[in-house]
Amino acid sequence: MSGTTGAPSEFFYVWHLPVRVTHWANVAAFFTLALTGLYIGAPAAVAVHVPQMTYVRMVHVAAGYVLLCSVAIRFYWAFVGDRGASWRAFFPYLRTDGRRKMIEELQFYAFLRRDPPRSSSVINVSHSIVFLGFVVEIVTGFALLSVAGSHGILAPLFAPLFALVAPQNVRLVHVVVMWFLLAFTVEHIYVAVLLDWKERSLLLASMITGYMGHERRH
Amino acid sequence: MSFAADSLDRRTFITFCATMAATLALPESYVPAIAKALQSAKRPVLVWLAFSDCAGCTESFLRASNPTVSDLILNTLSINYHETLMAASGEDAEALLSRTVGDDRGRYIAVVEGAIPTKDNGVYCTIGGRSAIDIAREVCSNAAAVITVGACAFFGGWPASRPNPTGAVGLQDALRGLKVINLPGCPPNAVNITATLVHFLTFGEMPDTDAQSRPLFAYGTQIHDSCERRAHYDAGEFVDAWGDEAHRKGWCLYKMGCKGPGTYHNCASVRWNDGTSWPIGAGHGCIGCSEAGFWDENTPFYRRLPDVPGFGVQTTANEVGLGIVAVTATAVAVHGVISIVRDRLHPEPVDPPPPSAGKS
Ligand code: HEM
Ligand code: HEM
Ligand code: SF4
Repeated sequence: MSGTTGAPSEFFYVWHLPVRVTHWANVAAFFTLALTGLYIGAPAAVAVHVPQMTYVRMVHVAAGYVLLCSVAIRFYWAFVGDRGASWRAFFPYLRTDGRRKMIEELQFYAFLRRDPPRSSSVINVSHSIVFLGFVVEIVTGFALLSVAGSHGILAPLFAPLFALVAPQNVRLVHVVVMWFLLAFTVEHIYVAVLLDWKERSLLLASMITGYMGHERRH
Repeated sequence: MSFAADSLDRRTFITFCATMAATLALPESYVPAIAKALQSAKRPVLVWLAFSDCAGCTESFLRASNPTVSDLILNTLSINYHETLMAASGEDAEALLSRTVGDDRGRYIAVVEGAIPTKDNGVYCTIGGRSAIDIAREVCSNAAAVITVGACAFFGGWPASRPNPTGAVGLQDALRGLKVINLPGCPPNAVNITATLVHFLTFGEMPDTDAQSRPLFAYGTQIHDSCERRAHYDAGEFVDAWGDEAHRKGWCLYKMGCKGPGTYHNCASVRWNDGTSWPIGAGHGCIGCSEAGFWDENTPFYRRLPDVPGFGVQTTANEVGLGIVAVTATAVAVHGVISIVRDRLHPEPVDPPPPSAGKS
C-alpha cells in the first residue's frame, strides 16, 4: 500500500451517540432477523423435541421490535439531531453541490480519479435506500405478524394494506427486500473498508468511537 | 310436516340436531330448540341459483348424509328452484322461479352458487335469455336472506382468476349493498351450509359473521390454529418431499406450500364426507380455498412463496436473492482486486491532499 502515514493527525467528532447506537442496534437486529428469517422460510428440525419454530419466530419478532425502535430513534434524530445526521444529508441530489459531489465520488469509485472525495453523498443515497428497505421490512413484517394467528389484534391496522397486496405477495416482498439488504451489506462493508484505507480516516473505528480523521462533507 | 314423522327415526334426527348445535358452537341445551324449530318450521321456501360455476357446490351439498340432504330438502325446506335437482325444465322452471319471487316476496331464502360475469352486459352467463346479474338482482333483492355458497359466488372463484375474460365477480361485488352470508370454499362444506340454514330456521336470523360476511362458527379460526399437524410445525418437523419419511409420519406440510396459515375455515374440526377426513389429514396441504382470490394469490399451491415476477417459474425467491448477493460480491471483489493491483503498479505519487475543512 502506498503513502500510508498511519493515524490521522487530527480528529473530528462526526457520529453523535444516537447515530452510532442505532447503527449497531440495526446491524444486530438485521443479522438476527436475516438468520431467523431464513430459518422461518426453510425450517428444519435442528434439535429434538424443542418447539424451535416457535422460538425462532419469537426471536425474529423480538428483533423486529428492536429494529422498529432503533429506526424510529434514528428518524427522530434526523430532524432534531446534528447537522451531519440530518435528513437532508440523504437527498444530496436535490442540491447543485450535492450533485457535483456525487459525480466526483462516482468518478472515484469508477477509477476515474485517484484521490478519495471525502464526502459521502452517494453513500448517503444508498443509506436512504437502506432505511427505506428497513421501513418496508417493518411494515411487511408487522403485517405478516398481524395475520399470523386467528384474529390478531394488529389485524385492523393492516387491513388496508392487504386490500391492496395479497398476504402471499407481502411475504414475497419481505423476503426479496431482505436479499437486497444482504447485498447492500456486502457492498457497504467493502466501501467502508475501501474508504478507511484510501482516506486513512479510521472510518471503520469511527462508527464506534464517533471520531474520524477528517470532517464529513455531506 | 316434520322431520321425525317422515323419513327419519327420532334418534337420527336428534343426533343431527346435536351435530348442528356442535357445529354452530352452541351448548347442548340448544338441541331441543333446534329440534323444535325444524319440526315446526312451515317449510320455508328456498331457491338455489347457479351461474358461472362447476356445480361442485351442489355436489358437495348432496354429499351431506346426516340426515341425507333429500330428507332435509323434502321435509324441512321447499326447494322451489334448483337447476340440478328440480324436475321442471325450460320455461316451466323459469315460471316457477318468477312465481316464487312474486308469491313469497320477502319470505324465501336465496342461495347463489357461481360467479356473475359482468363484462359485455353479462352475456357470458344467461338463463332463459336473461343475464345472471339481472336474475340475481331480482331474486336476491326480494329474498328474506341471501346465502352465497362456494368461492365463485364469494369473490368470483376460478371464472374470475387471471385474466378473467368474462369480468366475473362474486355476488357481493355484483350487487353492492346487498346483505349476504358468504359460505366460501371450493367446495363449501355441506355441514356448514346445513348449519347456516338450521341457524336461520332456529333463531330467525343469520349467524354472526366476520368482516367478509362469513359466519364465525365456520370461518372464525385459521386452519393453522386448529390443525392436527400443528405440533410438528412448532417442533420444526416438516415434509420436504411428497412421500418422504416425514410425509409418511404425518408431519407438517408448511414447506410443501400449505396455506393453512392465513386460511379461515373449520375443516380441521368438521372435516369432510361425514367426518371421514380432510385435505391436510390426507397428506395434502391446504390451498386456502375459502379466502378471496385464492386461485391467483395462493398459487403455486405446492410452494411457500409466489414466483418472482420476471424470473422463470422454477426459480425461487431465495435463488433470485442469492443471485443478487453473488453479483454484488463479485462486483465488490473485482473492484477490490483492481484497487489493489493499481496501487501496486502505480503507487500514489503524493500523499492525499489535506482534508477539506469547508462545510457545504
Ligand atoms: C430487515 C428486517 C427483516 C428481515 C431481513 C426479515 C426476514 C424475514 C424472512 C426471510 C422471513 C421468512 C419469510 C418466508 O419465507 O415466508 C420472515 C418472516 C417473518 N417476519 Fe421478518 N424480517 C425482517 C423484519 C421483520 C420485522 C420488523 C417484523 C415484525 C415483527 C417481522 C416479522 C416477520 C414475521 C411475523 C414473519 C413470519 C411470516 C409468516 O408467518 O409467514 N420481520 N422475515
Ligand atoms: C458489520 C459491519 C459493518 C460496518 C463495519 C459498518 C460500518 C459503517 C460505517 C463506517 C458507516 C458510516 C458510513 C459513511 O457514511 O461513510 C456506516 C453507516 C451506516 N451503515 Fe453500516 N456497517 C456495518 C454493517 C451494516 C449493516 C449490516 C447495515 C444494514 C443492513 C448497515 C447500515 C448502515 C446505515 C443505514 C448507515 C448510515 C448510518 C446513519 O446515517 O444513521 N451497516 N456503517
Ligand atoms: S400442515 Fe399446514 S395448517 Fe397444518 S400446521 Fe402445517 S402449515 Fe399449519
